[in-house]
Amino acid sequence: MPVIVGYQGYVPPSGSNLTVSFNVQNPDSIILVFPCMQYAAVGEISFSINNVTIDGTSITRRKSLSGSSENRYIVHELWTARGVSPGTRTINVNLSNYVVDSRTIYVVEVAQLEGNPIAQIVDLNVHSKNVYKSVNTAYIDSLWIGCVRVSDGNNTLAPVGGATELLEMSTSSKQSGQVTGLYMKSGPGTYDFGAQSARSYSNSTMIGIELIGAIAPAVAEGAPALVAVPVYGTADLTPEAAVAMGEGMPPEILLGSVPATQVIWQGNAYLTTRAEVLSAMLLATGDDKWVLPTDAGAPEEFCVEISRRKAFLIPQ
Amino acid sequence: MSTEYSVLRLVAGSKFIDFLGENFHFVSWAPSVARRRDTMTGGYASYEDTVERIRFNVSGNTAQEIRGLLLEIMAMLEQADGWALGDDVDPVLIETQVQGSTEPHPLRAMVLGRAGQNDSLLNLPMNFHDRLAIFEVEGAEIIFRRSGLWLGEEMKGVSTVGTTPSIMTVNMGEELHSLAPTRLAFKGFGGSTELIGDGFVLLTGVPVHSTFGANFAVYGSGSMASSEFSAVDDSAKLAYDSYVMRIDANSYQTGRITISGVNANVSKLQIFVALRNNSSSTAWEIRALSTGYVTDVTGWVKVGAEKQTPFIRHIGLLANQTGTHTNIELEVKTSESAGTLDIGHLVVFPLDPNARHLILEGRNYSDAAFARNLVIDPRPLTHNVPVVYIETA
Repeated sequence: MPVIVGYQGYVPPSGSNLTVSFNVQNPDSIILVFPCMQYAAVGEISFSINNVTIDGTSITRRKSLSGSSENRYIVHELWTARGVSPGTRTINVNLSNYVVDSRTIYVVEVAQLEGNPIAQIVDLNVHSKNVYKSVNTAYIDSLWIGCVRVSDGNNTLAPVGGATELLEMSTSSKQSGQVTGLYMKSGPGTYDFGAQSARSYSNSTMIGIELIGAIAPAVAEGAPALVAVPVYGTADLTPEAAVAMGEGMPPEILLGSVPATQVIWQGNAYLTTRAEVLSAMLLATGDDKWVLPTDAGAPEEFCVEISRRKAFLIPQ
Repeated sequence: MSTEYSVLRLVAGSKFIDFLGENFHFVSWAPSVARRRDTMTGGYASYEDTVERIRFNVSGNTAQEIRGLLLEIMAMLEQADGWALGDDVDPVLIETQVQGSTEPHPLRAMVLGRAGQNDSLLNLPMNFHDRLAIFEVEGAEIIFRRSGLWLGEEMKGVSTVGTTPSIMTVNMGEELHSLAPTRLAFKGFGGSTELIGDGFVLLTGVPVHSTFGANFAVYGSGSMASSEFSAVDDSAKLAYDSYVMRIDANSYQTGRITISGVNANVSKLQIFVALRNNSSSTAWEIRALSTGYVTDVTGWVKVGAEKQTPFIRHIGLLANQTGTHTNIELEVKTSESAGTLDIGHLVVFPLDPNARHLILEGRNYSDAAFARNLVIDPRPLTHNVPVVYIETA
């Protein structure tokens, strides 16, 4: 189950490089960075986020929202990083314009993940006080993290629907500024995720990300009898059909949404190597063919990815 | 506080005990060094578990706080003990990094609970009651069993695309000092590909090419010579060299195939053969031979008449103490006088400390119509057993 091991909201001083410090605790966690920026001026002067770095290393932009109205220009983004070493890290948000006058940066660290933990990202960019969206998930170990920003610094944000939990909220000191909030929700279901304010000017935005833990195959020793059982719809279920059937499926079939199928094997599957160059072979047949074929009868094409951790007998 | 370690802590999910932190103060630790495991059936990793003793002090602002801290560390070790016994709890890891390490992350090993059946996890000093009164307990000690290897940064490599039975080579970037848990993921199977018939996964660190031939190679009918077998076109069934080698029991009850000039320069080879028994009543036997300057022979392996489609059979191990194998031969026999047997291709698989082969039971694992990967995962930092599974890509 993904677990939030740390989060913090920052309002850095004005400048082109907005720098915050964050204490990373787990090397296998994911770091989420939500910059929420607003520039309030007649003429709606636009700006953008050039880059986000952690200790000088660029991280990945996952979502970018921007817009202008009511003499405001807003930018709201989500950036992520994996494999950040524990310790106090410097996060830098580089802006194209140094005069951005409402600046909030939320940083969240989530641990207990394996592989690609991002199940989906939803976003909203509306001229409304209602900044929430209906989301659904079938994952038991789902964790939603969301960031909402509204262009009215005099108001507060309230979680909606009883599902979303407020982690942190920040308001700008300027009347024309912004109010921002960081939210979470864990577990499966369909619910409204986000917040609402009493009123809003300009664009109101929300970015939510769903994180999941490892898709754990059943644990068994040797050659247990666990047979393939995909649980979400039939194997040929299309997204459209799933929605039409009322299966509660999201409008796209998510990567990794089918549980892993344990293969029955014999031998010691705890492979160990130390050589620099390794050679592997899948030696198999299929149907009435001498090789593993596709259903069209041609040889199936594939590659092998080999990964191993560096191993030592004494501490390094 | 020691200056020799920059990281020394126990971690369980989001909880951790930091021996270099505010309350727990590392005193001494003689890291134990694991030895190679001398049995393949008594465990999974290549190195034995080993026992660690870490001595530390505990300080706080009240006696109650210190008692609470000791309960925390005891609970974490109990969790590790329970995990090793099969409890459904997070595993506990020990993480360490020495000052000036060139490794980018702390190294980690699994904490496996008590050192022995009757051993304590935590020992407190004789003057515990006195030290508690001044809010600092000196000389506490934890004793626990951990997995033998310290695991660090993950290295990854990907081969070029091929088909069965391609040899797929991956450069991992560097040679390691110790045998490290290795994860294989065969990637790219289409959503409609039926996985799998009969299969083996082979992995070795022996160079594919030898001085005058090949160590790891696939040989089809084009490399096979025989007086009793004849080449038959079976390109429709995707035969390796388009042709298969066929023997007819009506003419020959014994037969031999020779693959000359293999010239593998390793002592031990495993032989795998793709076969098809075209008869539903005639059973055959097959064995492999290494011939040349010396001869080595495997035992006879039965080829039953249960099915008439191609399958892979592990024939056995050829061991030659001179360290080379010149020619490889296959010999078959039957007591029947009807029915044919086809040899599709033969795989010579060289053994070294990295080498392992795994049998995958043939059945359709393809219930989900999505692109899939076949994964062999030792799971050294999350589970106590490896697993083989097919996942959506």
